[in-house]
Amino acid sequence: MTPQKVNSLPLLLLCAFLMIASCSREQVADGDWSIPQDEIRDGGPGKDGIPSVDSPQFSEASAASYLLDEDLVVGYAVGDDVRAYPHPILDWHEIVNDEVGGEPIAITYCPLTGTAIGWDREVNGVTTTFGVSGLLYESNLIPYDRSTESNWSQMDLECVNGALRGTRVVTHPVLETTWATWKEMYPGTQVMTTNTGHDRNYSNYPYGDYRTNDAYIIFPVSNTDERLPAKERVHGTIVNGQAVVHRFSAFANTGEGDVVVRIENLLGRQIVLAGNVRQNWIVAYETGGRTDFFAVQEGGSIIMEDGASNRYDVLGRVISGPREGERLTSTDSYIGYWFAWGTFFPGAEIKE
Amino acid sequence: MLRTLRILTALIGLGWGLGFTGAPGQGCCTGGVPVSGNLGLPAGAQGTWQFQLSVDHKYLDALFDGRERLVDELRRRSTTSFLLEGSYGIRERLAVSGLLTFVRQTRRIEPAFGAVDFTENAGLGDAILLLRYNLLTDSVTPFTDLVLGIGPKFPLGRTDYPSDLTGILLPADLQPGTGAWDAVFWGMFSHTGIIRDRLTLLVIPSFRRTGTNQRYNGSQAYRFGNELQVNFGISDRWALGGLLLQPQLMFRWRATAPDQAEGQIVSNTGGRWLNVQPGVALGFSPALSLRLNAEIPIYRNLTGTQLTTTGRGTAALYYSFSTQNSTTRRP
Repeated sequence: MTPQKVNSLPLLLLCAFLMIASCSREQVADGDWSIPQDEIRDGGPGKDGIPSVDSPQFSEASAASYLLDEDLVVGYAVGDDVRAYPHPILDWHEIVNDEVGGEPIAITYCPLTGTAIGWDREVNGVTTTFGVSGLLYESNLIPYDRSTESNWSQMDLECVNGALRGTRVVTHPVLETTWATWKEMYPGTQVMTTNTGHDRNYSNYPYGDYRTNDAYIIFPVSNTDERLPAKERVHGTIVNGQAVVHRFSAFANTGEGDVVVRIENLLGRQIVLAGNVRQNWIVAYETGGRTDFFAVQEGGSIIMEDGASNRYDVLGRVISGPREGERLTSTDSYIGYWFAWGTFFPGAEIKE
Repeated sequence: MLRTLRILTALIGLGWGLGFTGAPGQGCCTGGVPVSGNLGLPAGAQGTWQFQLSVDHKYLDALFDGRERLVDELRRRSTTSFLLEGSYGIRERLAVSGLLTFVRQTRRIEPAFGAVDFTENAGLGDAILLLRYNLLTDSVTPFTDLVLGIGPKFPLGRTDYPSDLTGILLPADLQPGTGAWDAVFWGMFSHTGIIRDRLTLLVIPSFRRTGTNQRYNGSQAYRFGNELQVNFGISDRWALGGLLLQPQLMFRWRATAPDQAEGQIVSNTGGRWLNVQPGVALGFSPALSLRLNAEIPIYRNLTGTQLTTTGRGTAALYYSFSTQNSTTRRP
């Protein structure tokens, strides 16, 4: 193309560009958060960009051919309605809104902190569903409720933004363990199918080597506690805003069997903890004043008994004995990666 | 010519290699600004000014797992870029060019349950300064150009825009800037007279060696993956009344390595793409033309699961003039 002598077109081009570029935007900030706003990250996919599962489908355990025995699942039961929510699905959806035995429950799971918690979907008398806000606080899931659009902190178990700010989460005792263990404990369990309403590759873990790479924290956290490897899975119990953390090694087989029961005073509260390293689970309940729990080593879902011959399953339900049909009071406790516990609860006591 | 083809083959090989070695793609959503892919002014003679103002719109709603497209209509992204490229021929063989960008990005999520979520951001993006050297001059090879360029992409664009709705810092792939200094290596080979007198072979490779930016008040060192692009194809010229019609069929090979956060590979980033770019340029005069391009993906192989480009369109207005009396360029 032959160059021509100068005229005004280049200036017009430049002016056009500058006019476009001058269309700058105003910054608007919403400060209505009870957590530090500068520690909240936009994870990238956006609100509901990670879709919750709102109409989960279930099958018999034997039909879940997509699951490996060592895959982790989150289990919950009300009466005879026993259900498993596998990590390979939760990794992609993070929240499953369900109804178990007539109880509205949301399984909330954050793959970045490794925390799975059962949330009551009835909030202030209103049954709601939860969605993934796309925001993270200290690398942890911020669900939002679809009734009020309020944002909640999963690990803090509290609404942190919106109309319900300050409202506490009511939790349900779920069990995180391997698929093999859950099937053994509850052979009649139902398990989620991959018919989630969304097309995802459930055989592919979406975060590379994140589960095992201690150096790989996708979103930086404000407090790093290096007493334990960042990605070690530990069980934490929250009492009055403080946490006590138990390593799996605290439930190592003492020679009497795989199930180990410990009664401990945690931050002034009597808690009975039970764990099984081989089966990869730890649970914690209020003792209700009893101090005479002991482990039951007979396989299945029964894990302990008390001095009054009440026998408890792993979900804290009295399966037989004088208090049959009752259940232990659940605690605010769950399993998660150590770095998350160290960040949310600085200085948390570690029990070996 | 043979030597140039060897260089091109080596660059394509490097692109494959980048993907396999996991060396340090642009976010889990490939909504990045197409800066280096839009460098493409022809070699200019000494004293020649060239300008090109482009509007580039990219639409992303294809969710891919590796090479498989998933059935998903949940998320949509778009990137609209305004790019102003200018070039001046300092000497017969040497020219300097610059590229300014203005970027608007959107993210739209339409869940089955819940409200539509829409986020947008716009601002001045990063810029490129490129020193270009023409290895072949008209006096030696009147129908062949081989231009090589090198320069920095500097972080002119902001990376700290918050969301209008929440006040929360937007993710990196919704920011107009990258926050990092990159090195850009660029080349352009053209040869007119293949098969027909006016048929031109065009090859434009570019490589962006990315730098590191500091995110979240410096608490995380983040690096987008290196990027290799090779645009190649043919163009023809037809006289149509007073217009010069220049149809073009180009292909764009793009390979990006995964991003790195604190030195760790970021999952669901990086991949390889091959797109076809049909286009046409309308020459109103030898110095003024309008180019229209579409871009359609024909091959995608992404690392993990990513939202990727469904289609792209570009319109570019080109103008040149000389500050010197004599011109030696062929028509």
